[in-house]
Amino acid sequence: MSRLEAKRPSLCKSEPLTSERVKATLSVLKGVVTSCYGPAGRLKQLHNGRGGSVCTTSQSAALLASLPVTQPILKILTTSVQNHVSCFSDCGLFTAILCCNLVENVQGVGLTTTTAIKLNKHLLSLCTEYLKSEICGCRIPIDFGSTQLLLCLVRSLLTSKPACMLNREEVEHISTLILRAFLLTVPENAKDRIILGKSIIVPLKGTQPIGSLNSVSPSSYGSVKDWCTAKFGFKHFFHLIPNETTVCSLLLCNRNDTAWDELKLTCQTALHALQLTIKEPYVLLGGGCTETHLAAYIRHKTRDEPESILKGDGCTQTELQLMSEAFCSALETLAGSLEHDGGEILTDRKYGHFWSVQADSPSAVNWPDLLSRCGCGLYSSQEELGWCFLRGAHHPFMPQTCLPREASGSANDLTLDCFTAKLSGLQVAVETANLILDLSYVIEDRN
Amino acid sequence: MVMACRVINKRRHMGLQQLSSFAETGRTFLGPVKSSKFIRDEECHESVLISSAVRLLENLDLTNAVGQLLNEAVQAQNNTYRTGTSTLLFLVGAWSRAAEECLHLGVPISLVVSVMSEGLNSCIEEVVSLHVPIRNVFDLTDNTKTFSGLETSNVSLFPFLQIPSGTGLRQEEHDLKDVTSQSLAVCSLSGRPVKSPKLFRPQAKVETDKNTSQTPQVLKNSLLADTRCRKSVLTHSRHFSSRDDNHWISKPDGFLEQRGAAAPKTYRCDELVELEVGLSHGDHSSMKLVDEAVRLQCQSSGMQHGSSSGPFLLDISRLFTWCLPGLPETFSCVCPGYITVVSITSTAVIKELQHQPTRVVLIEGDLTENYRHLGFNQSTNIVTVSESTKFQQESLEELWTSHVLQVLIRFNVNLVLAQGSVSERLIEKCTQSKRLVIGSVNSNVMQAFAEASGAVPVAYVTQVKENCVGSGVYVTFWRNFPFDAAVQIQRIAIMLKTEGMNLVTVVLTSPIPAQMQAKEDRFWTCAYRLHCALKEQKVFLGGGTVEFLCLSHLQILAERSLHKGNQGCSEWLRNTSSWLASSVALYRPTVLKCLANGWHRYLSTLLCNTASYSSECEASTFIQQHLQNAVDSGSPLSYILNEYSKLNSGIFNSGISDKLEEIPRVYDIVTPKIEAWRRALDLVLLVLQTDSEIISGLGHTQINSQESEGFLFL
Repeated sequence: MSRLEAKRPSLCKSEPLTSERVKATLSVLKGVVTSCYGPAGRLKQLHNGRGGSVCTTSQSAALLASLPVTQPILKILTTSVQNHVSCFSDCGLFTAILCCNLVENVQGVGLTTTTAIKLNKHLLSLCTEYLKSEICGCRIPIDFGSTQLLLCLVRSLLTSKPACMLNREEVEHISTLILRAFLLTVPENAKDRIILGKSIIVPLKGTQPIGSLNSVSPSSYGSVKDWCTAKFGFKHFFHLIPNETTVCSLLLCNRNDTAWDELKLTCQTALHALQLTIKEPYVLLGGGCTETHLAAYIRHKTRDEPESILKGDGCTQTELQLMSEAFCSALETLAGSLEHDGGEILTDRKYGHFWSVQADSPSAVNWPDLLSRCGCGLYSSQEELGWCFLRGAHHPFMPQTCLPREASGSANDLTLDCFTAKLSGLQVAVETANLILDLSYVIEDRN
Repeated sequence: MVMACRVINKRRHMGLQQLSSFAETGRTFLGPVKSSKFIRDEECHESVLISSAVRLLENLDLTNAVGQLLNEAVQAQNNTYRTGTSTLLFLVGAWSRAAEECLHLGVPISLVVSVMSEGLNSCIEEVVSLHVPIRNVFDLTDNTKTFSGLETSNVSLFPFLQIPSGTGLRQEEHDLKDVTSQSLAVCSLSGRPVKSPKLFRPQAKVETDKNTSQTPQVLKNSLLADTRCRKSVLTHSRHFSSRDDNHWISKPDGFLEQRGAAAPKTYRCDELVELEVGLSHGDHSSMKLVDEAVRLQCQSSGMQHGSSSGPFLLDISRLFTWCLPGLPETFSCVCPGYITVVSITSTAVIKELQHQPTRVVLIEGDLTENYRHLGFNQSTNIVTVSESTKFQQESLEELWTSHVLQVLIRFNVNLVLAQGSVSERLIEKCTQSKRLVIGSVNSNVMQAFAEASGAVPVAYVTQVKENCVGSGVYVTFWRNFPFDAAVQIQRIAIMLKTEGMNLVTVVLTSPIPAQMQAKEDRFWTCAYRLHCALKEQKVFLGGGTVEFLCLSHLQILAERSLHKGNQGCSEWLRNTSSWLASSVALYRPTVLKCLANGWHRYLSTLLCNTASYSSECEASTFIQQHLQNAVDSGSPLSYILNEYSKLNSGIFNSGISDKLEEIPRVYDIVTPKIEAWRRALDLVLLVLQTDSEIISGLGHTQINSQESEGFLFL
């Protein structure tokens, strides 16, 4: 016997962002990603509560993969971030936090959604144009004649993942290994279009995947130069030595499984970041300096030449100021998320960099006594730079653009970020925030 | 699917508290005197007897995340080194408490992490000076000095802990000459009293002050400055130096040397027995078996290569343990070759095969009709349909069995060793045709037979070719245990041997079946310790000296950074540009003190467990006393070494027979110990930095209402 059941009507919710429940879950997610951010970020234990393996991590890739969410708005956010991570590996948390901050800040401004989205787009293009321009003051061109900056990039990536449980020496060692592995994958006689080799996973070059062993045509065989067995620690390995020199294996060890998983993921990210850097040979200043510098730049630009930004598309200058404030403070809050131990953030009025200081420091204090170096490590506090609290109200200023070449050459322990990944993260964050702000209905099929 | 997210680090750190409470359960396993525990399952009323940290965690229901991480850490240590797990477990507890203390005192988490790793690393660099090199222990191996001869000296398990409970701290005035009257006298086999060496004797204080004033400044400097990778040889005259000319000098290469009245002698371990006793940590019965095994391996390798080049190592992969519960301990023994049991029905076959070389085939998997190798994918879309499946199944097996038999006959194979299980029907058939098939053979044993007999292991019998067949294996009965026991179990023990095979079977017996597992574990612990010591060619001076050096070193570091406000070590901080870098100096003494407290707890528990002290408080006072002496002396290392040399010269001066001069020192193995420390701290810091727990796949209903506090759903 069969019977027909009537279809249940779909559930339609209007203005989903105004719901308290959505706001609450969004703030939980924001709390989770924000607390993970940076070298001092806190770790999360992920498990299924039924005795499954426990993963301790602070990386967006691992975190979002095991964070099943039900709220449609949260789903949009996590999916965009995962998409970004699958293409660029790095800057996932950056994207997620910035997106959350933007949604929250724009809601507080009270402009119509259309205006807010339009202005957000203007501000985004202002950012990307500046970051891509020659005058950009937070970008360093990479000279492949020296490994110094590349090593800094890898080191910064490793130190930003505390769950790898590496000490200073181990970070140095593994950074060097990763860079060496990467350089081995770069072919010696590069033509116009460089095809990079691979590391970690060793493909047998020239072989064709075959369906079964029944009919093997000679063309589907590849060849290896040699093979041997090798013993590392307590494990035996089968080592295939290929004809091409652009294939290498990187062997990673760690004391426990969870730290090892984290290290594997981090190394893949670092190798990917290096590959991206070879395509676009720039790095961005890390440690929060790019964000604060960019915020200072945008704030000054919107105040100084609003007409050139608005291009007469119907938005008023007041609306632009309001949105610019929301946008810049989203960037600054993001930079401030690097602090997890109760310190406070300063910025300087010369470069617009990020400086961290102990909480409750008197404001009339002689700052150079308390400060050492800025977040990225480029500037020291010896110079009088005119510090002020990042969150305090202050007049917009134009941060110094055009990074002098010698500045990057002198410091050897800079905190750097992958240029391509961060630029994409910025775009994804703003576009996802716009999408979320633009949602007017959520229609749920309950059948 | 719903995600629940719980913030676990609001006011008190739940993760750290869980760690320390789990670790507390293994407190009594620390040290050589381990009290066993019963774990009872309330549901099925089964119970297990355990006496090690690994077995404890294995049998506990650790379903929460922190417990699981702890179990993983302990298992990883055990799988790699088979030792150091109790230390690991204890230190996890001690340092979780230390980390929590730091949090209570308001130290930022990032600073706890960086200063604790810095502190432990500094300790690890410091203890390098307690390395004792092992040199050619096999050169001096003679059969006159065997392990059992030294068995009675087990009173000196832990030189650190030698003060008998009767001796109070008040007896400071006593001179070393009174050593006879104070020492714990025990009877050796020969009936003569054996002196218990006392490293940290109460009168040490007076002596130390005198000695340190004589310590050349250069030594102090070198001790404090050169801590990077000093590979030191501790030299001192064991026999001739008197206390007054204990001058520790630093050689230009950074090695430590003590110049006495006579020519300097290297302080090293060059006798196998001495090393074994030192590493046995009181478990003489297990170490005795290891000793026999290593001698057998040494003999057979000596026969193979003549004079072997390089130091001889104990080959762990050529040791095989065979447990026989129900027999008295005295039946435990070590034999060359492979010992196993077969069904009593095979007696006739073995009689037939005895006294002649046998040809052997090695099978990697199961020896059954339906076995397929790993990675084999059965075609899923083919179903065999038959009227009588049972009949067909039987005939299939019958067909396969006769096929296997044909192969064995063709290659004239009389012995088959399979790693997996073997079809009963095949065993039956083979027995009829005078062939022996043995299943469930350990992979190391297979490898040993492959190497010695020339056989090549194959996955299926059909793959057997002439070049896969090994030869020269001898099968005999093994009748070292009472026959009635054999009849009871309806099985007989046999021994397989091949020329040049250095496989050694260790037969372990225990009258109480519940203790069998513990006995096997203890044997492997001893075997791995000796293996590791021989491989690394060095050991630590044991008995708590290493931990004591760490404790006093951290104490000094903490005091020094308190006075100087040392700015130099912020390099341990991950984020050097943060404000934390400039506040390290402020918090360093606190964090280092807390870390040192962990060592303090370790040592007091050790003393308490060995029953040297009735209460932990008493033990703690004792440690505190010596800590003060060591710190006051300026160089804890010289303090410890002086105590050691005094111990030896004291024994010598008291004029007891030569034999007693061989007071066995206690040794610890180097890498497993340090790895246990590192793993412990890594785990604590990992949990310390964790602020929330994300549980996937939980519905709202699955969390109890009382538990649901603190859960957030996405």
